[in-house]
This record gives sequence, structure tokens and C-alpha cells, in this order.
Amino acid sequence: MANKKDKQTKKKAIGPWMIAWHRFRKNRVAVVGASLFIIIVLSVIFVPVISPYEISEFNLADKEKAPSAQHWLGTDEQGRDVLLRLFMGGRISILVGLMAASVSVVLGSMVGGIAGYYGGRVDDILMRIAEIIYSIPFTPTVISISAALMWRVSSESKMYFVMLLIGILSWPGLARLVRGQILSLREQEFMQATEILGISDRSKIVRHLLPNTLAFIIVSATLGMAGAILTEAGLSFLGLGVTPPTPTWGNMVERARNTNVFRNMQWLWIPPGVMIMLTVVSINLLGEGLRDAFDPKEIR
Amino acid sequence: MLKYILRRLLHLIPVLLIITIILFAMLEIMPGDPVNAYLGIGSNATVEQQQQIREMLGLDEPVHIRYMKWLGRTLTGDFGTSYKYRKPVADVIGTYIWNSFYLNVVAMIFAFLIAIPVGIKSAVKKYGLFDNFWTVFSLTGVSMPSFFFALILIFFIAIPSKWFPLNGMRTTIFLAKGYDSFGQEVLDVLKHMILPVTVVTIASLASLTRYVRNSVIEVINQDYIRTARSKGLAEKVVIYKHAFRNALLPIVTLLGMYIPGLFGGSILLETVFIWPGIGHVLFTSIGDRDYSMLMAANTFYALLMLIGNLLSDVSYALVDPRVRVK
Repeated sequence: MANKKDKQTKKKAIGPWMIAWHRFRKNRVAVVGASLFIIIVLSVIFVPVISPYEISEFNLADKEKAPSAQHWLGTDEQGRDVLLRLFMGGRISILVGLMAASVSVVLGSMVGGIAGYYGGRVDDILMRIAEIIYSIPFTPTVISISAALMWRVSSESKMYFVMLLIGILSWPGLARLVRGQILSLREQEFMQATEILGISDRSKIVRHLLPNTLAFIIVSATLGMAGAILTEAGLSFLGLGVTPPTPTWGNMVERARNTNVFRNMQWLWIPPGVMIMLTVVSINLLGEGLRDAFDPKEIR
Repeated sequence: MLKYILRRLLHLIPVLLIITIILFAMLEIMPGDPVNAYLGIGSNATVEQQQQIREMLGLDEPVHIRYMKWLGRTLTGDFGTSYKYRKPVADVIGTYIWNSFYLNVVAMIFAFLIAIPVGIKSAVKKYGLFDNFWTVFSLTGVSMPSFFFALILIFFIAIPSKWFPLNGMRTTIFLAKGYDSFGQEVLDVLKHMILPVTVVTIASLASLTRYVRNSVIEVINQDYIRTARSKGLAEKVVIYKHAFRNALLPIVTLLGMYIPGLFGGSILLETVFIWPGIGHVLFTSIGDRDYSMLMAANTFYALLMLIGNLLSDVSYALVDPRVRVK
């Protein structure tokens, strides 16, 4: 008997994460998005591994070849295999998006958490800083700043630089959201309990308040990643992001600014553009699915 | 209300100051000597001459003094002289703003004219075939890099069909010999506009249709709509008279927010289409080290952004009096 009762309580005790998961699984569009994203991530990881070509392999005899059985997506002016570069570029593009979103999430939730918890002057100052950064016109500033700093940085470190830049300029939206949530959470009973238990401010914010805003943070991180991938692509398209020889989808599409490549060698610039679109679509679907799954008001 | 607007305007001042300081500092660490940019490529000026120019441009002073001077001049409406165009920056910006504006205004009119009926119809038949089509459309729209879409459009439609000019704003022959009549000029510019306007319209449609749809859905769920239905009004009257009028408020708010943005051009699209707008000017002045131009263009964009935010807050306050009290 006791066993049966145990089972019943177990069945009832479905946490909010399980509810969200069940709802996410039922949302067919979101599952398609998530699967597509997983396929893209797996292929950028493994295609370069199983490719018979090397990323630094030049073969001038084989240059500017249209897609064929040996080179499925043809070769570029230096005879490099475009398929390999496409997936190597994907590694960088997705990594930049992921890291930029992480920087923005860490900054945004920290600032929002501190501002919301302490209130008063701290809140005023932090939110004013957020407002200033929010008001900076994103594209012109990012372009000017990268132009200013790019010449001092090697091709590889440009990648890290672009990540930081996008992350640092895009946290204020999340900070506002988290702050608003914390303002209302702060007044709830469980926070009085932490007060009585004498828990430190730091762990009150990090262990008790922020986890309650996690749903917002996850959704914002996913959608932010999609945005960061687009921003990186735009910057690299203008030649102000990650620059060759390090491939990214953005600087591969940039080749289309050369008239000859644009008109006669579509295999160089169409595939990376399509990959950007597929990746961003899949992340957006995933993000919207997560938002619906976490939203208690959404009933479908 | 006036007090609220005044207070918000006062808030803008420190924000704008800090943004200009950040931008000024950024240009400071930008490599390349503006004196060389001033002289142009292939000049054989001696070291003394270069020094003279440096003094003439005021570049020999420390950075904070130069910032204060820049600020002082800017406040009196003098944005300095563009090294590249050899004209006052204000004149250059004044010319190119309008090029961006024409493009944006036409696209915005199309976008609103399409988005409003589409949004209403999607909201009324939520999750229907029509709604699903536009959902996919707007998802693809927001996920497609605009520059890639522009390239695809040029490659697959404009080049094979030879119907429209691929880039620029005017035909080269007319640039050399001038237009015969004003009508001819308008027609020529309109022809060049077709491709960029299509791209900008579709890009704005992607988010606009969703926005209209969601605001109409929100209104349809209200109690007074149920009342209107239950008192037996025709569905058409319910939707267009009761629901749409109320949904119009957030849409008008959005329109107000768009207005400042009309004067700023998209850097990426103006670069792809070589459209001589303000975004294109900003991008080329980076390569040319045209500091006064860059500084002014960036400040201009910051101002547009701030005014846009202000307008949206003010219109919210107009709609919702509770906002003002805070």
C-alpha cells in the first residue's frame, strides 16, 4: 500500500521544468527547429573531421572548379574545397554566436540581478548605464569600433574580439527583463525565509533569485544567439568582422562583392548564405518553442 | 504631459554626451593618419607641410581638448569639414539623408499598407492556412540576412530579366549630361529604387505583420469584443469597427517610433546597392579616415535612436496615463 501511495505522489510531483519539456515536445514546429539545429551543429563538428581535404590545402591546378564528384561544392580561387570551408566557417559562426550570447547573458543577468536586488542608488546607476548602452546605435557603432580596432588584431583574435563586442553591446535588454522579475520576486515569502536563515546577498541573488528568472534568460540567450550570428555575418560581409583566412559564413558571402565571383561562381557565396539562414531559422524556432513552453499563459 | 516630455529630454543630454565620448575615444585609437587622408593618395607633401596641415586641422592638441572643441563647435551647429568631400559635414549629411529618406519612406508606406490587412486577417483566422503562410514568411524574413536576400534578388531576378538597374541611384549618362526634365529624373530614380525598396519592404514586413497580428489578437480576446458579438453584431463590424480601432493604438505607437529611423539608412543594404545614402557615407568614411564625417554620422545615428526611444515612450504615456506617474 505504502508503495502505491509513493507512486502516486511521484506522479503528481511534476516540476515546472518537466511541464515545459512536455509542452515543448508537443510543439511540432519547435521540435523541427531543435532537430535542425542539432543536425547543423553535428555536421559543422564532424564534416571537417571526415573530409578528405585539409583546411590549409592549396591546389592551384584545381582552382575555381564548379561542383563535381570530388568537390561537392566546387573549389575557390586557391583550389580549396568549399564544402570543407563551409563547415569550418560554420564552426566559427556558431561559436561567435554562442559566445556573444553567453557574454550578453552573464552581463545582463548579473547587472539585472544586482540592480533589482539592491534597488535605490545602485539600481539607478546600473540602469542608467544600461540605458546608455541600449541607446547606442548598434550597427554604426559596431562598424566604427571594429574598424578602429581591427587593424591591431590578428585574423584569429578578431573572432574573440567580435564575440566580446556583440556581447557587450547587447546585454541591456536582458538586464531590464531580469531586473523587473527580481523586483517582484524580492517581495515573496521565500525571500523572507532566506533573510531569516542569514544567507549572504551573493547567494541570495545567484542561488535563489536568478534561478527563478532562468526561463527568461534561456529564451533570451537563444534568440540572442540568432541575432549575434546575423550581426557577425553582416560585419564580416562588410570586411569588418572575422577576416580570411579564418572562414566564417559572413566572410564567405562577402566574396560576392567581387563581380566575377558574384556572376560566375555562385557555389562560393550561395551555400554560406543558405547556411546562415537555416541556422538562424532553426535557432529562432527553438527559441520561440522554449518561450511558449515556459509561458504559463500559453495554452495550445 | 509636457513636464514628462521635458524631463525625458533632459535625460537625453548625459546619454548623448557619453555616447559621443565613447565614439570620440574609438576614433582616437583608429589606425591611419587623418593628415594622409586629407592629402589624398600619392601626395608628396614634405614633413613640414604635413605638420602645418596637422596644426591647421587642430590635430596636434591632446585628445580631451580636441573633444571639448569638437563639442563646442557641434553645439553651435558646426560639424567640421569633411576631408573627402571638401565640404562642411552638415552639407554632406544634409544631401545624403534625403537619399536614405526617399528609400525608407516608400518602403515603409508599402510595408504598412500590406502589413495591416495581412495582420488583421491572420489574427481573425488564427492558425489557419493564411496565418501559417505569413508566420513562415515572417520567420524566414527575420532569419534571412538582408544583404544575402538582396544578392539573391539581384542574381536570380534582376540580372536574368534585365528589367531594373542593379545598383546606384541614377543612370550614369544622366549624371554626366543632366536630366532633360524633372519628370525624367523622378522616373530614373524610381527605377533604381525598385530593388532596394523591395528588400527593405520585405525585411520590415517580416516583423510588422507579426506585430499587427499580435495586437489584433490581444484585442479580440477582450471582454468588449465578446459583448459586441453577443449582442449580435455582424462579424465584419466587430472586427473592423470594434477590434481594429483599438488595435490601431499600438500600431500608431510603432509608426511614431519608425519616423526617426526613416532618416538613417541601412549600412549593409546601401553598400550592396551602392545607394548614396547616409549609411553608405558612414561606411565609406571609415575607409577614408574622414573623422569629422564619421563622428557626425555616428552622432546623428545616436540622436535618431534616442529620439525614436523617446517618441515610443511618449506615445505610450499618451496612451497609458499610468506610465507618466513613475
